[in-house]
Amino acid sequence: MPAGITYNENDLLTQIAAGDRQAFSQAYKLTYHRLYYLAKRFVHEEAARDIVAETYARLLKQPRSFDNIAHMASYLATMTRNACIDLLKQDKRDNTMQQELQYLNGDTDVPEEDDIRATLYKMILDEIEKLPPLVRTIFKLSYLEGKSNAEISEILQIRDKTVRNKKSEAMKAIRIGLGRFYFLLGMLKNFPGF
Amino acid sequence: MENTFDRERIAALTYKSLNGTLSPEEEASLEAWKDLQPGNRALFNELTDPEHMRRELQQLAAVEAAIERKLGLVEEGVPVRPLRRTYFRWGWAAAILVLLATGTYIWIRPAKAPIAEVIKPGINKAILTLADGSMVTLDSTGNQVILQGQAAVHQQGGHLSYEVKDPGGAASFNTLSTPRGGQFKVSLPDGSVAWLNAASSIRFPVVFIGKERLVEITGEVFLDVAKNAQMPFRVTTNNSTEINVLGTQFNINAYPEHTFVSTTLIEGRVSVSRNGRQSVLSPGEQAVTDTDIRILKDADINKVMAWKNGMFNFEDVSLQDAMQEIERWYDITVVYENGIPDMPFSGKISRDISLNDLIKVLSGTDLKLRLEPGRKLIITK
Repeated sequence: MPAGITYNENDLLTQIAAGDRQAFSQAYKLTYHRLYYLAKRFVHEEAARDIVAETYARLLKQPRSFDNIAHMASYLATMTRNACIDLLKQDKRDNTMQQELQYLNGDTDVPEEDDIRATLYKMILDEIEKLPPLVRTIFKLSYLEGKSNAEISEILQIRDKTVRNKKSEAMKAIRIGLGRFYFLLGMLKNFPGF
Repeated sequence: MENTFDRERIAALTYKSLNGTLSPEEEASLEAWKDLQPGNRALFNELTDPEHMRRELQQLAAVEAAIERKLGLVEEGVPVRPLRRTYFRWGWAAAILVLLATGTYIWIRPAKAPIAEVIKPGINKAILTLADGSMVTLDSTGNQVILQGQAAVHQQGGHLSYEVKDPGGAASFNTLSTPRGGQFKVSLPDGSVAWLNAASSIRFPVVFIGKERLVEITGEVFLDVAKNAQMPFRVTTNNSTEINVLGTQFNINAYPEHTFVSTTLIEGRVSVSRNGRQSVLSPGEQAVTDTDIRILKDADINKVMAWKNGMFNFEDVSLQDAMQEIERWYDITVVYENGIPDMPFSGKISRDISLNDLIKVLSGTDLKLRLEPGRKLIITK
């Protein structure tokens, strides 16, 4: 798969309508974070994650043409919301969710709070993605997944020393590229073996 | 009304605040937003809390990975390097190492962390509601005698029995009910015996007086009725099905989840009636009362009696019905993650096993089952 192709908006929409996976790989990043928090309003984490993934998969299977990205986002939001409703209907016994069902008035707007949340965290993830490959992986494994050096060493089949070196690189890159994310650094320092 | 631009701006300002790159004007803007509503400051604090952030980022990363997987952008199960056996020590057998198209790898946990909770099968457990409304909890460790007007009620483990002391006067009523995950047996004042499956009940007088012996049941009850030609035995259920009995053994299935009541005769003779319609059953026959009464001539007795024999018999049963039985016996909730699979289901197995073990037996290539905290069984096609 050719890497590094970036479509402009028009081409992106054209390619999505054609069911081009490469285009999808670019497009989903524009909207998935909002869809996830929308879904989380109604269902729990895992279900929200799976519903969002399934929504994109469905669009890939039955591609449509959209006027613009906002149009696509709105369509995806409706699909996500409907999938959540279906899940809630099946899970009749979950009483807390019944209250949420009352708010489903065809409103697919993400509440302000969720929008800020989604945008902020997507921004941070985007910055993390800018780290060099191995450094990024080790950073994710240690920071996001909470794996220890020994565990990382085991998973990636690299020497413990390499793990530590890459972590130092990550710290350096974070200081330079991500700026003074001292809160992040603070968290990293708490991880054993760092 | 807030527009998207404002929200993006707040997110960007928050990002810069974390970064330490806010200009004085931007700082002032952010403070103004925090002061606008009490919820705003709280939101800011929550968003920038390190642990909260870490968890949310982890979730988002997992969503990304799930999407990439679903869109077929990843090659699954192809580790960058061969994994040594010792890696299983940390219990990641359930997780997969995924190679992304960009040549980097990321760790995915496809399901929640494994559950330590063992879901045990049902046990002898019930509640006896006495004539005055008070309730007595019964379980297999109990051993007691309760006086109820004209009768002495003996409990020995999972068996309750009524001994008539004084057959005079008006009778008072007791109700024996089993919860989900429970079962119990009761010997009624006339010597008839009732076995109750999970989530069932039987209401009866402490002594049988008058022209007939009348009991009310819900759920699933197997009855072995003592012969008494002078006092016919009658059972009523919640959907107004009535069963008239003369010394006989039969099973009634009257769970509220179904609209029908199913009565299966093992031995003797019963007549089943509802809304003016009536049918007489011979042994081996089953009457299903719904909008009318249907007779099934050759009922699968083993299947009907399986519960009483400590078994699950799922021959020719829909997945949904099987799952409802499992829900009642283990006191769990079944959640169908992506629709109810239209799958034929078959088999017989002891029901005296933990749900964890049952899942191992039931898991097949087309059906994925997993346990989640809160006594939830998740089924995925």
